[in-house]
Amino acid sequence: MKLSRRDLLRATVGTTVGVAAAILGGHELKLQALQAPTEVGNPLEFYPDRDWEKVYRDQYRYDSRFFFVCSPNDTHHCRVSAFVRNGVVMRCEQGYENQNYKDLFGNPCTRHWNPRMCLKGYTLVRRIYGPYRLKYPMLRKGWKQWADDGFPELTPQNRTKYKFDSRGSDEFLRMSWDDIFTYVGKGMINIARTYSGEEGKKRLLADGYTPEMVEDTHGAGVATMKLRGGMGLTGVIGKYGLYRFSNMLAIMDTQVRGVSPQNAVGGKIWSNYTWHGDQAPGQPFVHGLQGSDVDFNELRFTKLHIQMGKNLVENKMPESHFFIEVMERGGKIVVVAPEYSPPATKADYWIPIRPQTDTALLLGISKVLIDEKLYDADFVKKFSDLPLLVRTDNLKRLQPKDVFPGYKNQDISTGPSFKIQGLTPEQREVIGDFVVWDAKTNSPKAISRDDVGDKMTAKGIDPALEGKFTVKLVDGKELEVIPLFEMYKIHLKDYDLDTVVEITHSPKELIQRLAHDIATIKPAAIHIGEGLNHWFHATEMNRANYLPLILTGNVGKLGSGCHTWAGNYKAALFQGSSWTGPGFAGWIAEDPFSPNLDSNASGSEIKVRKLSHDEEVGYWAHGDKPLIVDTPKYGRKVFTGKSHMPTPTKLIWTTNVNLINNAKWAYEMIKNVDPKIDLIITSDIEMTSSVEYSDAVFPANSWMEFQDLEVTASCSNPFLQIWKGGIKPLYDTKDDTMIMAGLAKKLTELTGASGYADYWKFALEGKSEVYIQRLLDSSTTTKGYKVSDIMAGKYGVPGGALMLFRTYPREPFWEQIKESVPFYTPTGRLQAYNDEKEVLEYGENFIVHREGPEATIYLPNVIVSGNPYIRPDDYGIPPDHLGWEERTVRNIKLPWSEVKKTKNPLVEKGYRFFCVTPKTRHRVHSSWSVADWNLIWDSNFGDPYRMDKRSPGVGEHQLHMNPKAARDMGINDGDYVYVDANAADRPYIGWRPDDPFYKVARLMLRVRYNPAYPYDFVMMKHATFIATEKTVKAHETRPDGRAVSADTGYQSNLRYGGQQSITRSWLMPMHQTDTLFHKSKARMGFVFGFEGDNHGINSVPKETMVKITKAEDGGMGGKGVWAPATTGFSPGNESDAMKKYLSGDLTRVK
Amino acid sequence: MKTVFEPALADEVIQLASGGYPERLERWRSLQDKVYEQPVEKRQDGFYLVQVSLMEEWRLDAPVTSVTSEFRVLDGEISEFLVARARSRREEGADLSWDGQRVGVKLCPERFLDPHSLEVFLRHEFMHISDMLDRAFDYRLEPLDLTPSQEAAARERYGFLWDISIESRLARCGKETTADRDIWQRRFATLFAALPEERREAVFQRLWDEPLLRHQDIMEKAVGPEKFLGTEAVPTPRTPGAKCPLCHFPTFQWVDPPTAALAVVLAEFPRWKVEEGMCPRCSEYYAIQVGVW
Repeated sequence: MKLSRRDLLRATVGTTVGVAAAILGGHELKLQALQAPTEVGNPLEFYPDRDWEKVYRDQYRYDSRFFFVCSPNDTHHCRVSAFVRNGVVMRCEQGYENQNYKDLFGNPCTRHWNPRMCLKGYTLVRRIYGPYRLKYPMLRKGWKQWADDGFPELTPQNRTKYKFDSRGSDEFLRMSWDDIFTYVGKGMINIARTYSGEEGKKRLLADGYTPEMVEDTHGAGVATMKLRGGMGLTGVIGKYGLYRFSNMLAIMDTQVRGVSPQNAVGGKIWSNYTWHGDQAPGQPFVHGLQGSDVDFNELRFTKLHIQMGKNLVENKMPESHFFIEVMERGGKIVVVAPEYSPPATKADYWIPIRPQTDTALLLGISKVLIDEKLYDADFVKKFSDLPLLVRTDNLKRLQPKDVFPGYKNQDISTGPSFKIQGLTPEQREVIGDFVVWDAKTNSPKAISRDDVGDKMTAKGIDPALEGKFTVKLVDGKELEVIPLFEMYKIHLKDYDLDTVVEITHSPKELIQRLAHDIATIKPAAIHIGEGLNHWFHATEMNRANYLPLILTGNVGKLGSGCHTWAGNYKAALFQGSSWTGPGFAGWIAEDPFSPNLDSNASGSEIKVRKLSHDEEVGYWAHGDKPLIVDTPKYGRKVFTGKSHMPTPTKLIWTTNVNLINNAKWAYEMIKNVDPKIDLIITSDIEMTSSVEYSDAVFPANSWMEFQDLEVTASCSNPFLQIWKGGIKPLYDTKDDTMIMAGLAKKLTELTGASGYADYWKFALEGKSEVYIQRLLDSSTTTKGYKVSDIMAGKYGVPGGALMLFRTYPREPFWEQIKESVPFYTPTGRLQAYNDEKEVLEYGENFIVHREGPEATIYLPNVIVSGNPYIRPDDYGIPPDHLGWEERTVRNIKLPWSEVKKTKNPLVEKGYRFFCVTPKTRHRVHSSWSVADWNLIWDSNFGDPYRMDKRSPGVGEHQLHMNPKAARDMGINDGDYVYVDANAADRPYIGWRPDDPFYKVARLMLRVRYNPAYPYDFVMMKHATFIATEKTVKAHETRPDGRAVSADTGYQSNLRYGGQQSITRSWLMPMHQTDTLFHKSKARMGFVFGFEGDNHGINSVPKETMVKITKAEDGGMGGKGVWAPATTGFSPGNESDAMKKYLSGDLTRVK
Repeated sequence: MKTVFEPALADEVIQLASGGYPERLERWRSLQDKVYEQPVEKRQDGFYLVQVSLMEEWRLDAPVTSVTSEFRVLDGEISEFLVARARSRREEGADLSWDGQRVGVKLCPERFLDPHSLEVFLRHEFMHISDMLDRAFDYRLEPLDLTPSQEAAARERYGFLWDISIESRLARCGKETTADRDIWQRRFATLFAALPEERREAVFQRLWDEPLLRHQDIMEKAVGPEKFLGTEAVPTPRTPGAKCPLCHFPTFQWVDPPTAALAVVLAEFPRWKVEEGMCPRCSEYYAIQVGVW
């Protein structure tokens, strides 16, 4: 019985008779409280019946238990115990068995890793058994009609007819696996045919793609297919398997174009780590590695632990205790962040900082270290590029061939560069050798990249750090050359402490204190991550992170270094080498024309032929185009390097990722980009917005339901994990691997080519362990392990073992420092300087502070420097140009005295709030966004009863805001507000007030007063489930107001819009060079320019300024003030008594 | 038609009614003692029978049954009255089930100590139920195209106007009202402060004299108080929290578009008037469109 009819129209009398009805409606008059107590005569002879306690104890009864790996993209990958009763997993618990893990040689790890599992593991069962699971394969109705009509050409009219431009309002049809494989297989073949050859190129050009992109397809339609194994390390076989599938598409290319296998092209493989903006993009510039990360227990060796924009409290829940242990071991903790953050509460001191000015802070610290001679000169000379001479004419490093007539590069063919690191003779020719000024002989001396550490001193060279020298070039001209260290002294004149205080707004005494601490407390480590990496100029910040560490010798020693851990990106954990075999590449890039079909073959025997090509997702997210700008000085100029150039996107297949939801500028994708895509396939376990905007949906098994083996490892712990599920799939779902293998088999049926099915032979036979064994056989970190041994528990835990790193805990660059092995840079040294031609052009040869292209109060993208050795090109773009591409590429150099007089026009127009979107405590990216308990915990507006029917679900997203800033704008705690970014391009280009989609895309959410945030700084946790057409319609028409789609059941976390309403794509030029020389990520070898997840476009969501305006009152139903804000106990609204309590004056003790 | 009291309510009412009456307390205990002699599984029904019998014996249920009997329409269409415990006075009231066959009433136990005021209160509440069942009143649920804050205000005005309609009808029948006319008038002045002061008394008098305000009449006046003045119920221009006429998002800030953009706005929204204003975001949109941003 529902008694709410009159209640809907009454505000004066709040009747809620439902309770009474519930009590009176049946015959359940259970007056338990009035039951008579059991009489007991002599309690020593008789004890009352306590059988009722069985009810309590039975909650924990289980029939069986099994272990699986909770494997989201949070880097932990906890092995979790699941308890099963009647075939249902009742709960999950930590295993408390980490001390049992051993390596191949019997070495154990510390039991301090226990316990490992967070609240997300705890609530995982609510996701697995929850109402949002994908239960069967689905095809979009309009897409099926297009296929049934014979795939007619997708003219603009047909894109409308088949709802390619309105996917969000179409329906899904339930399909069998066989049918959906047939449809999708035919669809792929059609796309390959449509966009192949000259006709294909014409179609792509007619669709508006740039000639460079079209050319990059090489005439192969399959090159328009983009496959993304979402954070594949979380499941190397099932997730990274999509990259293998992409490589297999070369077979389709031979069939469609009729080319030979030698000339075949595979599909594209989309990045992960960089796409999330999680990579530290500057790290390859400094040391050549994709990213530097330690095992978490390494933190305990640190004596000075510095978190810059990092939140190890909320974002590393199972292992944050290791940083807390720094305190217990007498270490000092320092936090640098704009807000008084959770880790700041644990710090010895917190340095507040203006957003995005960390580079300036670190340059100021470096200046103190140099001026006060607090640097480690020996380390600097041995391991850094600071002694190398730089030419003052072209700003390149001086090379021996410039000054020594007839110079030949030194023979290092037997050294570590060639023998260990995989340097090729061709690469050697390009990078050449280098010159230092030998203080002993007072003359220039040539050194190679192998001459690092003790190897340089063994040659008797003592490089000068200071001074200016004149050399005679081979052409007879004289040229001034300067050691980089001396140049930095000139460069850092712009970063004296007073200037740094003005730039950063940080307290002078704390900057000095940190500089002195770094100089005197060792080992020191800096922990960064998504905090700094999500800014446009993260490259400079990452390089700057290293400068004080280089100066003080804090690299390569336990407890030192600069580390990121933002996302489990490290395919490099399955590192291939000349002495082990292909490793990771053996799985994703086995020759599709010659797959090894011998189940006993060693991984080292696998023939690798990578026909797929890496590509950054960032270009799709930029309107499916590269960075090309019409410049006043040079006309049309392509800033995207050739090695980075994307192709047009005509097919997207993702797994384990909420791609559309998490695209910065998601509504631009939905509205203006995806309508041109012919097929969007999503594999997932749950209904997401990405699923809602897809054409084909493959429902996958969860970690608990895997029917075959899967393998994972982590960038933040030493555990190698192999597992399978312990319950049968709940629905008509498949393992990711079987989805790919099934489609491959269907392609064999459709085309007659056996190669597709052969490529997945062992998966189709249910023997994924064959592929896992090959992976282990051929990786430097796992060679020697047998899957059967690991599963049998030979290494302590069934399914577990320790990765074979050089050190335990893992310490990057240990070999470089201890054994004088070169770093993975051109110079073989830690680099504070880059002389690649693009870098010189952009004015970033030195580590330099730049204001952001949007998130600044000053001239966008200005280079803050007066250094004469920085000579950027502004391309003639005027300072007041507001175009986002122009702001992206414009390089204007000004000293701070001039910069501080400038203003960001956007701020002048009211966009004055920095808006950061960090990762959440209760989600992993957008995962767990529909776990009811997590939603309730996630904000101050969680309410299982949804008493305010405006709430989209049992949770409500919130914007943290300084109370004074909010009050000044008439915004009360708990009010709904709009958060708007630049009206010219957000939420999507071409929005209009009367466009119904604008209503979907504009962000509205609740405000929460939070005094921890500075006045002009707001925070909204990222990656909530965005509003879609269907959720907005539901929210506005359902009697209960829930934002849950009528047919798909998709639950939005917001009434309107999403985090991505305010963010947009920025194609950072420094991320797109062709000339950066650095280590290849998953093999011992080097690469110039682009490599996916290594050197490429990083998304930068924090590059966002917003305007905030009140939308609705926060009180119940939109009336008055949100009740909790009126209690006197809430932040920013404290009563006098509460203020006394906070100041410790409430209770006076005489 | 049967009346069912929630055990928790009945228990508390009986307890309150026993206060100061030792003989009542003794009687209640003696009845309960007999229930304790029964097997455990039968006791809860037994306790409930005790409560029902004492409610009748001490005539604690009389106000409910008495007022119910005054409403023929209830007797004809309602199969069951459910009387439950309210946690506070704000929770008190009556409502109708979705199937229109049961009435739920929530009351604070203390109400039963003053049978007369309880009757007055119940009469008022049952008038609401009677109206809901009255075809002439034409009660119906309908979505309101209002912002949440507007809807909240409209709900409050609706409830208040309906209360006035009921009170005035009761007064004309010679029944006691829950509050005096003057009090209702003062409340009206507060809630409809936007009406011209010199017109408020006349408007209230007209309202008080209305034989029967129907659902639709009340709704129109609640949504657009201008209806009282005989004008069209158009949204008040630039009301904080009202919808922007262009994008339909609620806004608390109203601005004019850039002068240079007026023609563009009018071309796209021919029915829009300058005095209506627009939200800052829409103004910014048009500024960009005409290049004055």
